[in-house]
Formats: sequence, structure tokens, C-alpha cells
Amino acid sequence: MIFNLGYLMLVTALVLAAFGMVAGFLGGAKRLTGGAAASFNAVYAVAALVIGCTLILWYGLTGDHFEVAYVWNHSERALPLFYKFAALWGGQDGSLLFWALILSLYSLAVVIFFRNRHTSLMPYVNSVLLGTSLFFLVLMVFAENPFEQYGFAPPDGQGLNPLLQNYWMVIHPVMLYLGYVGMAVPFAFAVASLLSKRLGNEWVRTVRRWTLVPWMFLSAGIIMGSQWAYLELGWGGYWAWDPVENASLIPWLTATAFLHSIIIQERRGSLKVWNMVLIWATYFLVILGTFFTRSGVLQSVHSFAQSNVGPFFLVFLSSILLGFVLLLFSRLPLLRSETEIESLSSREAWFVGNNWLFTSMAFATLWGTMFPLFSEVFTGEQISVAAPWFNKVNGPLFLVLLLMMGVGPLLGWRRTSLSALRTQFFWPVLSTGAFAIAFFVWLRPGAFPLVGASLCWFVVATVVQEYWRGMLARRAATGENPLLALVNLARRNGQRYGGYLVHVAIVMIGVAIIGNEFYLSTTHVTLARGESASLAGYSFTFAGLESNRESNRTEIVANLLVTREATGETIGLVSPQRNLYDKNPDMVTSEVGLRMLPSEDIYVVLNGWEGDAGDIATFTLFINPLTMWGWVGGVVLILGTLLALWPMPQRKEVTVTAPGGALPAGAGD
Amino acid sequence: MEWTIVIGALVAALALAFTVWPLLNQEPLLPAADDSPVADLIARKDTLLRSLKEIEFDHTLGKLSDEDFQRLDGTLRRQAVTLLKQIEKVSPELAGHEAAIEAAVAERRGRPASQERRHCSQCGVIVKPGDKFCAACGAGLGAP
Repeated sequence: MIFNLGYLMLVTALVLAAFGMVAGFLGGAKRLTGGAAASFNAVYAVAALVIGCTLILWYGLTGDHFEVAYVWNHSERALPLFYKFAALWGGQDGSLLFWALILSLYSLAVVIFFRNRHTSLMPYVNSVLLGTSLFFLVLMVFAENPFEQYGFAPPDGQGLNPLLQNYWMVIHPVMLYLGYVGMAVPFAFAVASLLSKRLGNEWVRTVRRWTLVPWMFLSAGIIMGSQWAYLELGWGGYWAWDPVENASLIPWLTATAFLHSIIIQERRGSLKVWNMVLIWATYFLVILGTFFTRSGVLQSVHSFAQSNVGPFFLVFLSSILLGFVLLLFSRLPLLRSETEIESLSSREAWFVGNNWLFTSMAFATLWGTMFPLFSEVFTGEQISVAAPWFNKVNGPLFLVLLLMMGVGPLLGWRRTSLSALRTQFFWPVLSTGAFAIAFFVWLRPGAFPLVGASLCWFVVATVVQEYWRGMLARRAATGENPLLALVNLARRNGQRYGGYLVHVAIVMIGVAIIGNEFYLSTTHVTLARGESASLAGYSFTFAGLESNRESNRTEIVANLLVTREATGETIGLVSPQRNLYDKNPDMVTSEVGLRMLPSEDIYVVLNGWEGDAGDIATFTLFINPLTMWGWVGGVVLILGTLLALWPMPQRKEVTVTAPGGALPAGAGD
Repeated sequence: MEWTIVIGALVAALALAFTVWPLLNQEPLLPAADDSPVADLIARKDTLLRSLKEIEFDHTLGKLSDEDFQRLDGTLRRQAVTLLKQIEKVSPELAGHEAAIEAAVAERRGRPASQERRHCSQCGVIVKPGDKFCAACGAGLGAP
């Protein structure tokens, strides 16, 4: 039986990961070529074995081998092929295997990329990555075997959780995992630099790109997850501060802080301990987040499976915590700051401020997420803090963050003189003032949306000014035409100008949040065929229900004709639907009817219907202002990150040939 | 069932052999090019050069006043010279290649290396055109 082979391969991978971890550590500590090389080979071997196991499980899923418990639990004959592949991460055991797979692929990329570089760091890097793999292999071998079999083959499976049968749900976990798991790489480099006492700029420069890539995936994963919640869960929103949503947001916040503060360490040689703590915290929170999702300790829409992996996670988390604290303390004398922050009007001072904000938000969100656990310990009852609490805490912090996002880029390193401050702030502040007055006169907003929208404007104004002045400077220096100057400016300073684009993306997301939080309209209606309801200037006419049969479900689709009341202009049909899955008749899922306009989303949920012909149906209507900009922001965020990642135009390397050999003078990334 | 165990054992044995094999090599781990003592110094020098480029850019954009720019530029250049000296000390074979390094500096900053480069008569460090005193040792340089 091929599935027994899969299990044997998992066991082999476990042994080799443990062996490679020790070999890498000893190879690094005792400087043995053999140990170091063995750790490299262990990475290759573990990756090959884990890839093999994944293929075997995919074979089981696509071939309807219901004698495998995992396949029986998460698939069925009628499931479209696409979802049979996605079922790999649809349940507990499979998603652990998927974690191990992505970690193996990252590890493989690292060892191939750095095979002949960072000779002192790499054995330790391999050791940490294999250690992480080891943990997930232990989980699979001892607690959650994805290849567990029944002694017989049931005729058909249980089917995939209906909530997961959506294309966003197929891609969203992949992105999230790529982001989550990838954070192991910068953490491995940080630990390697601590262990090898090579704490200079070397690991810092290597690690920035390797953090940016998983950061981009994590951002995309979070945004796609909210897209999924928006389209599938049908409660009108995209973010509910659900424990598992938070579990992805918290490491994102610490990773974002790290991406900013690592620049200061590189440029100014300060914040060394802080950066170590941030990247450790990110890694720790990633494992903690996986624990939340996988153990069922917190109730969530994502608790697809619950099990007994808890104790394993607790042991692993405590060892990460203890091991890291001890290691960091033993290296503290080597992590002294080389410089002090000279002035409050410097970019580094505001970077430190932004770090405080990001960590405060991360801590507040973590506290709120874990509150049910604390309350259970002290009162015996799980008390959850709900969305309003998170909004109240994080909302104002987000405003301050916007302010910092605007001010920071306008400041120079070390110190900005008064005259420079004046030239930098004149236009952004002036235009923001004008915007705030116009906005106030137009909509009479409350304090929060007024301040929020003005700060959004301010950030965009500073970014536009940065691009504009940079383009002018480059034009003056090179005589290029404006467009070419702009392109070359962004290309040659990708880190800076890509970062600015990401800021604009965050502003777009902020605009969508402000629109939805403060200007949303909603109502419940019951309509007979032909009847109309109106909301926020739109008229909705119920045209009737229809029923469609798909391979594993029945879809009930309601059609509503939407027109603009003022002009009578027809906008089109909006068709919310409900899906009844054959295998899960109790879990009726919702697909919202949606029409996205730049100014607002027309969003309709079908709640139920009466009579066999479906002559009467109930709906929840939403008009969600500016929501589209959140998704556009997501795309801009990815483009900005890609710009920051894009390799610098090739420099000519100056090679100095000395009697002892050749050494490139510009050796660097 | 039988063949699963045979194949499983075979796969395990192969993977194990592949992983353990390198242990037979008992040679000490040799530092690679990026691992030598100068590597970190060079990395720091690179960062300094980038900082120099960046403050120049910030100056052009008006984020740094002329006065601040002069001050920072001077400080960073002094640090760069100190680093170059350290590099020279740690790895003497690199000595005498300052010209190449200076060319790299110039290239980084987007201008060609000056044809008539001036050296300090006391310590031999390259000095900026127009400087009256050596940034490294402070010796007077005479008329530019």
C-alpha cells in the first residue's frame, strides 16, 4: 500500500531532520566541513521526502482512495478536481503536511541560494530550519498522521467543508502559509548570527529580502482572506477580529515593524537587540497562530478541526521562548548599539515611533485574542472581546500610524533642520488643510473619519511630493524626460519608492475601512416577486428565484434588478445565492450578490425564501462605500513590494586581483 | 504490504546514506570569501557608501540643509576612511588598491573618479578636492 510508504517516508524525514539539525549545529560550532555538508544534504533529503509524501496524499485525494481517513474526511467523488487538490490544506493533518512542504521548499531555496556563501552562518541556518521541520514531522508521525487508514474502503467520502469551496479559499491559505512559513528563514538567519557571533551587517542585509518575500505573501493572504470573508460569510464585512484572522495579523504587524527597524540597524548600527526580538516574536507568533488554528483552543470560523496537538505546540513554543531568551542574553555584550538617536526630527526617531505603534497594535490584538483563555483560567468561563473592543483600541493607533507614515519619509536621517522641515512640509500640510475643510463642509463628518481621511490625504500628498521632487532631481541630473526619469528613479531606489507605494496601498485600505466603518447603510427586507425596496439611493426589485444543479451541490439564486433612484438608470442584476451541499445539508453556504462600483459596493445576501416556487424571499441589503479601494490597495501593495524587491540595475563590480586571490571590492547583495 | 516495507526501507536507507555520507569528510570548515575577517568591514563600507549616496539624494530633495549635508558628508567620509584603513590593516594584500576602491566609490556616487587625485602627504589617504586638511589625520594639505 502506497500510503504505508507515505508514513514510512514521514518517519525517515523525521529521523533525518533530527540528524541534520544536530549535524548543522555541531558543524557550525566545531567548524567541521562534514557536519555542515551533512546538514545541507539533510535539507535536500527531507525536502525530497516531504514532496514525495505530498504527492502520495494528492494521489489519494484525486484517486478517491477513501480507505485513507484524511481523504474520506475531506473529499468526495463528486468534488471538482480543483478542490480535490485544495483539500490538501482543507483539514488538520493535510495542512500540517502542507506546512512542512512549504518549509521544505523555502529551505531548499535557501540552501541552493547560499550553498557557497555565509559559510559560518549556513550550518546554523540549516539547523534551525530543520528543527522547525522536525516539529511538524513529529506532529504528523505521533499525533496527526495524514496517511492513517481504515481497514476497508468506504464507497464515498464526507466531502470538503462547504465554506472552503470557493476559489479565494483555495488561494488564500496558500498565500498565508507562504507568508507564515517564510518567516522561519529570517529567524533562522538571526539565530545563526547569534550562535556564530557574527552580528555585523552581514545577516541584516541578507535577511531583508528574505523577510520582504514572506511579508508580501502574508499581506496578500490576509487581504484574500478578508475577500473570502466578504464574499462567503455574508455578514457585510471583511474583517471580524476572529482569533484566526488576528493570528495572521499579529505576526504581520511585528514583521512590518521589523522591516522598518532593520533599515535603521543597517544604516546606523542601532536597535540590534530590538530587531532580534522582533524577528523572534514574528516566528513565535507564527507558530502560536498555527497553534490557535490547529488546536481549537479558541472558537473561530477557522476551527475546521480540533485535536490533541496542543501539548506538542506548548512544548515547542516554550522551547523557542526559553532557548531564544537564553541565547540573546548570552550575546547581549555583542549587541551594543553603535550610535545614538541624535534628534527627534530624524527619520530614525520616527521609525522607532512606528515600531512602538506596530508592537502596541500587535500586543493589543494578541491580548484581545487570548482574553477568552485568560478569562477561562480566572472565571471558568470563556469571555470573548468582540470587534468593537478591537476597533476602539486599534482605531486610534492606526490614525497615529498614518500620521507617522506621512511625516517619516519627509525627514532626513540623523537630523532635519528647520528650513528643510519648512520646504518638506509646506505643500502636504497646506493641501491637507484644504482637504479637511472641504471634507468637513461637504459631509459634516465626525472627528474620527475627519481626522482619518485627512491623514490619508496627507500621506498621499507626501508620497506624491517625494515622487515629484525625486523625478525633478533626477531630470536635472540626467536630462531624461519626466516619464523616464520617474521610472528610473523608482527602479534605482526600489526600496524607498516601493515602500512609498506600499504606504499608498495602506492608505487605500484605510479609506475602505473608514468608508465601511462610518458610512455603511444596511437594511433587512422581505420581498415578493416584483416588489421593490430602496436603500441609499438605490432601488432593488426582486425578479424571482432559480435553482441550478452542480456536481456536488444545488444552488438557489435570487435575481434582483438594481436601479439608481434619482436617474432611473439601470445598474444591472445582482444575484445572491445559497448553496446546498449534498454531503453537508445542514451547512447552507451563502454567496453574496455583489456589484462593485468605485464609489460603493452594492452587496446583497439571500437569507431565506418561502413557498416552493420561492415567491417571497428575505434579503439583507448593504451599501458599502469605497470598499473596492481596499482590494485595489491590495494589488498596489504587492506591486510596491515587488518594486522594493526588484534587483538593482547591475553595477559593474570592481575586481581587485591580489596575490592571495581575487576579492570583489563591492562584495554585497 | 511486503513491497511497501521493501521500498520504504530502500528509500530510508538511500536517504540516510546520502545525508550521513558527508560526515566522512573530517576537514575543518574553511571560510569562504564572504566569511573572511574583511567581509564584515566590506559590508560596512558598502553601507557607508550607500548612506553617502542617500544623504546626497536627500540633500538634492531638500531634506537636508546645505550645512547639515556638509557636516554629515564629512562625518561619513571620515568613517569610510577609517574603515578603509581597517580593511588595509586586516588584509594587507588589499593595500595599494585604494584607487580601485575609490573608483568604486565614485561609480556608486554616479560620477567618474577624478583624474587628478590628491593624496595626503602625511598618511597617504585620498583627499577630497578643495579640502584644506586631511580628513583622516588632520595634516594640512596646502593649496588645493
